[in-house]
Amino acid sequence: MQRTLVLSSLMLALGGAGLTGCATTAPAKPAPAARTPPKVASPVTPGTAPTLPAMRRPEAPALAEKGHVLLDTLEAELKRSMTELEARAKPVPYFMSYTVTDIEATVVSGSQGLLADTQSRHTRQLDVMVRVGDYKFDNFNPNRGGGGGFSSQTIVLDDDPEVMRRQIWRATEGTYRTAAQGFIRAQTNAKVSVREETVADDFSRETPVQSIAKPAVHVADTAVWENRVRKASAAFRSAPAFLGSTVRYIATTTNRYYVTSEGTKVQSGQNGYRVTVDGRLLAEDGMPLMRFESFEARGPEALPSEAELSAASTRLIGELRALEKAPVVEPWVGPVVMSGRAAAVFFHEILGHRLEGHRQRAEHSGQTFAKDLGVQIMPAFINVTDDATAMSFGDTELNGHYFFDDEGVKAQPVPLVEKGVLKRFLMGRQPIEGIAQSNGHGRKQPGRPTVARQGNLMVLPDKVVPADEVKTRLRAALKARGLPFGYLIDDISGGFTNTSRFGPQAFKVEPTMVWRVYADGRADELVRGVDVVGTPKTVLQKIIAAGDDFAVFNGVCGAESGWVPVSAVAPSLLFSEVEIEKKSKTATKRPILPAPPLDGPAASAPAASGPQAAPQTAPPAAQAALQATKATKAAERAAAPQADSTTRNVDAGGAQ
Amino acid sequence: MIRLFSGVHSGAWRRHAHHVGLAMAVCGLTLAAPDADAQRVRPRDVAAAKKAVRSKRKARKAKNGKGKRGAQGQAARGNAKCAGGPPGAKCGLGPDRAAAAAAREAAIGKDVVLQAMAAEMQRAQTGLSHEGSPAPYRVAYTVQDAHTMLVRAELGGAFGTTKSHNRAIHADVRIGSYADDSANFFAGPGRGVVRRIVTEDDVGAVRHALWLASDDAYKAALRSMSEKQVFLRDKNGIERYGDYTRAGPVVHTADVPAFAPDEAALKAIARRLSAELKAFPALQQSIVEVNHSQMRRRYLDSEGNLSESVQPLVQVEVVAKTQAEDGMELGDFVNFMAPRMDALPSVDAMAQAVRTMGKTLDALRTAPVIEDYDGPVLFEGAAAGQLMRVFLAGNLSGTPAPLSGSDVDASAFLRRYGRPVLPEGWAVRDAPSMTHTRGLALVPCDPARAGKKRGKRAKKRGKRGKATFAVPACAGAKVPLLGHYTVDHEGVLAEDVGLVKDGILKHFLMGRVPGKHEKTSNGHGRSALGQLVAARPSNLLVTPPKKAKKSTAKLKKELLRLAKREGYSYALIVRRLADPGVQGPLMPQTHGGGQGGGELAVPVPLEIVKVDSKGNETLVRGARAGGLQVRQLRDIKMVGKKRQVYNFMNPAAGVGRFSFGFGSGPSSALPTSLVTPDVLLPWLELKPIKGSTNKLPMIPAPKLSAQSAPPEAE
Repeated sequence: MQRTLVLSSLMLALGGAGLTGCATTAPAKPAPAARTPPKVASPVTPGTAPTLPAMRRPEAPALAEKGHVLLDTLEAELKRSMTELEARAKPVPYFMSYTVTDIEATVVSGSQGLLADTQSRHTRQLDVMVRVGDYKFDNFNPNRGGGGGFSSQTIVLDDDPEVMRRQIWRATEGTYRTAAQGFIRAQTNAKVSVREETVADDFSRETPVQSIAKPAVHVADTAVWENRVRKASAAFRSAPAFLGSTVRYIATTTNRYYVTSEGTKVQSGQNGYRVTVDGRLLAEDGMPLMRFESFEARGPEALPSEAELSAASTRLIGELRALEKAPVVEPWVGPVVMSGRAAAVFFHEILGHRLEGHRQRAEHSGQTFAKDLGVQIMPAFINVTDDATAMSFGDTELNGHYFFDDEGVKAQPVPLVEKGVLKRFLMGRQPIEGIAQSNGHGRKQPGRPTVARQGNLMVLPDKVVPADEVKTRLRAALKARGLPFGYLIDDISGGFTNTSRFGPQAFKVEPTMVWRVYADGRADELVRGVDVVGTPKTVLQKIIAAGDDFAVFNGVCGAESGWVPVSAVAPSLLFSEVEIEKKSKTATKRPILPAPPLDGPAASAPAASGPQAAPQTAPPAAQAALQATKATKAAERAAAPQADSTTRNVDAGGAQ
Repeated sequence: MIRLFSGVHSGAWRRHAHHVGLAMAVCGLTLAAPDADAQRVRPRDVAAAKKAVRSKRKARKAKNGKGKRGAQGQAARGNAKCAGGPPGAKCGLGPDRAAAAAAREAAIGKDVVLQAMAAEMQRAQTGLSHEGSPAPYRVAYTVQDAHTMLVRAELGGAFGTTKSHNRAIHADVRIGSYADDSANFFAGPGRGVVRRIVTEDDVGAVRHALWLASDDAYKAALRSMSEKQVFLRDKNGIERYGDYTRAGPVVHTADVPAFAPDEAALKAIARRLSAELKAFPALQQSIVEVNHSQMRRRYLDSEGNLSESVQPLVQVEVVAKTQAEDGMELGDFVNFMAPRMDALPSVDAMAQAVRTMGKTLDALRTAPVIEDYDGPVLFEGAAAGQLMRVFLAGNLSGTPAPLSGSDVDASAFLRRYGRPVLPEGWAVRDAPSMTHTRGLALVPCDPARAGKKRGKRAKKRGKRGKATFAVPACAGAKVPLLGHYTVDHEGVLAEDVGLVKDGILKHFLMGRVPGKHEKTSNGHGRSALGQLVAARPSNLLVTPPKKAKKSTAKLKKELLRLAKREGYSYALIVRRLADPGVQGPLMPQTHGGGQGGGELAVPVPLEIVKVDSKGNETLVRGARAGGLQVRQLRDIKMVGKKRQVYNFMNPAAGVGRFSFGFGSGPSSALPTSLVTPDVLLPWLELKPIKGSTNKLPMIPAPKLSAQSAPPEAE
């Protein structure tokens, strides 16, 4: 049972807002017959070109004068290992890389106005990749590969080259062995299997880069945050019947040192801050209800203030209370509006993951869009780009920004869909037929081998209508179909999509805040128990209008290569047809006894002269920027329901 | 200051009337100034109990007139009721329940967490009944604060430090009656959840968590009860001894020292010890872990028991691995445990033990592989403790396995109750009251710390003890025992129990779940939080009769004689076995002996020497041991002269010999000491491990600069 708790907190820490994985473990199945790509009609009525906010795109990171001692040690040991293996080993490795990820993290979490233990940890993890064979065919071949060639271990924190070299040596020796075994297996597999469906090399040739950025320095003002976490979580003392609630502050500093046998040498560092608030409740019918809010920032100055955080807690409490009383939906199909934030998550799940390069080649993968380059896959007014070079969208920082990906390839904007036509895939260094190079999307968490991943996925339509107009059009669409009501999906907690060929190429997203919108203009009604289900090729063609209210979703995404920070940007979107199904629920009864009293301040709450008096270190400019951002957000939130109301008029989609 | 109130429920204890001191009902005392030694060291309840042990010995000496340890079993068992009493203190008669209730109120009044526990317990007792279902007959709450600081190092370089404090709660809610309740059933839905909660004290937050935990546990109890009834309805031949027993009321509070680990000091130890292994570049990997922890428990039940306990612990583990020239994986370890930092051996002494281990492991690389052997084996040093652990640690528990269709006994001794389990004259005692013993530590002692009392006799003993160990030992010093505690995890005061007397099994260790032979707890019910509470040993003292004690020379002579009769020109001495708790990632994947169908599995031997008739010793490697039968205990005729303290972390989940745990941390295992001399086991099968091995590394190891002097400690 303890395990359950740990797991759920992990989800909160890493992916509560999140985007869940795309397991692709099913056995390969025969390829489908050639298909004729569908033509997509564009029933949309023209809007106007949107005015996009400015995006900050710094050219390069601030550089350091000199690399960390780790880089030299890694480089020296890499050279030595390559030389020794070339002399003694058979088969010989043709590529080797070392990544050391130095992670410093501080976590302050609390509940009901009280703190759990403040955690800080500092670790260094070494990832070793060894490729045996050649660029054309090696142990990592996605369809015939024999595995191996990758390992990960914790190394010492002390800058002691002697110990580090010893640890690197052990890791290299072990990884080489599995790589060699994998390669031999791959060769045999290739001989006894049918030819691969597509022809492509196993590893791309890229120009080696050298970039030594200034290391990031860990800044975590625990005193300020302990106070803020206490204050924000104290709001939940007014809701003793909730099963639980958490406010959590996570400050992470990641410094990465990457060297390859090709001569690439990258030192990079960045800070990431994340503040999350969640509350959990059990509805009378046994349905677990959860609301979650998160704030992401690259610097401490962009984090929410005490007031904003407390407001978020209060809002979540109100929403949960409203949800508790909300009616449960029945399965349904019809026109639906997704708010910007929901649409952003939706695109990440149903399109983004299916455009990741490795899925176009793996023969166990559904390859939904693999042969669709040049084909119109969605209405012509929609463009989709993944641009990890963007550090912000307007004032909002983007979580998915980076300068170099985890294979040392420079980040670049990748226009994936232009005027509804699929143009590109997200590529790491694993080529696919017709695409030999990476476009800087090879990403991973420490301890996992790299695959192609999203960074900042942006849905940028050519034509938009005012946000109000989207809802007007929803009502029109409802009337046209003779439906009394449709739905507005305001927030999505996450979802999953199956990309394995074994299962259906379907997705399920899990909205948390869904409103029933009546065709006759009556006030919207909050509902619960909604899941959205569908298939990607169909649903993308059902978009009939986009709003001008772009919203940013910042979160973390989990897939084969682990959790990586991502962003998704989208305006509100009107779909002509979306299918809704019932959410699963438990049979758990609510507690027999009423909740014990929780009113009054927490016993350990500090006096007013406590740490909150410590001044904020943010420079005035940043403060101003923060205020501006938050003001917009506050405006959005102002439309949030009052504690006990179950209806509202939805006009604000959440523009940022 | 120590506060101890023991209101013994006279009815429940009637059957123990023969125990000294049981007439005592309330034993409340105040210790103003513990002795200087104790003050320096540790939570004062430990110090006070130490005093109590001293006073107890004094009393015993007076009683026996000789100062011998003869009748220690029963006397100690009774006396432990007053553990913590000042020298000469007597526990008198007094109002029991009323005094206990008053003490309980006082304790609750002083502690926010206990307040929350009491408030929610009252609600649970009365309010938890549902649609005609019965209210619980018993509710118990435990709140556990686990503080740890863990540092690791390799070859002088430190990894990151892990520091944590977490607070977890558990609710045990039972419906039915003591004779027949919802627990003690194998297939039930478990014992409720362990919840992590905030670490700051607050009535509301703790109540909120206990409210949910009680609800879960109550609903689980209802389900469990009906499943148990269904099971019993359809089965014949289920032996039942009742499900739980009354105890107390006992009120025991303890002062809790702030947990203030010294990160720099821990790191200095880890760096220094790990740097020692730089002298052995052929060792492929090594790791030193230093874990300083403090587990604090608050326990409250609806029967009036309230207790607080603190378990401080420092663990130092050094593990190394390498490969022999033929590729065989070899591993070894050395570890040190103490209740506090300054009770550890000195860093120099530990470093010396690490060097010795390194040297042995290094030598094993080129040692010959063991040949099939089927004869007498001398277990020396740590291995003697490890052997006795295999025989005794699980089997002395009288807690029955939860009700199930299986007929497997949780103790291999179950059917030997009241009959011999060891040769005549042998005694085994479990003494949670003891904090120290005089004997040999299995690591070198720092002579400076051995104490002023160490006179000529002790020095002489120290010299004599020298040759026995791979790791030289130091004699005559006071060696801390790790198993000391005052009150168990079911709110029962710990009793010292004479388990085996004159070779005959007299008692079992008992928790509150009644067994086949004994029904009442003797204060040994302990477990990891949320796990089934079963009786587990604390300080196990194995005392052979004088006639069995022989000098090392005589032991070896007998060993060789027995071996010769079996047709061997040599015999084997085992000096260290693998420890199931100490493995980390480094130990060879060869755990779990028990080949050959024995009742008991012997862990993989790590250090074995072959001794020939001239006394020449040769290291051998690659052995695995056959299984043992408990009856082989009765074949032991000869032991060494010196008592040695073997410390280990005893897994704290499961029951009896089916105990299990995950790792050697203080949240999943209990610090336990076993005191035994070297043991000559007349028969054991040892044979080479079969199977392929990995080739040696292709890439030569990077050079290590310092086969030179190790760095100075910080």
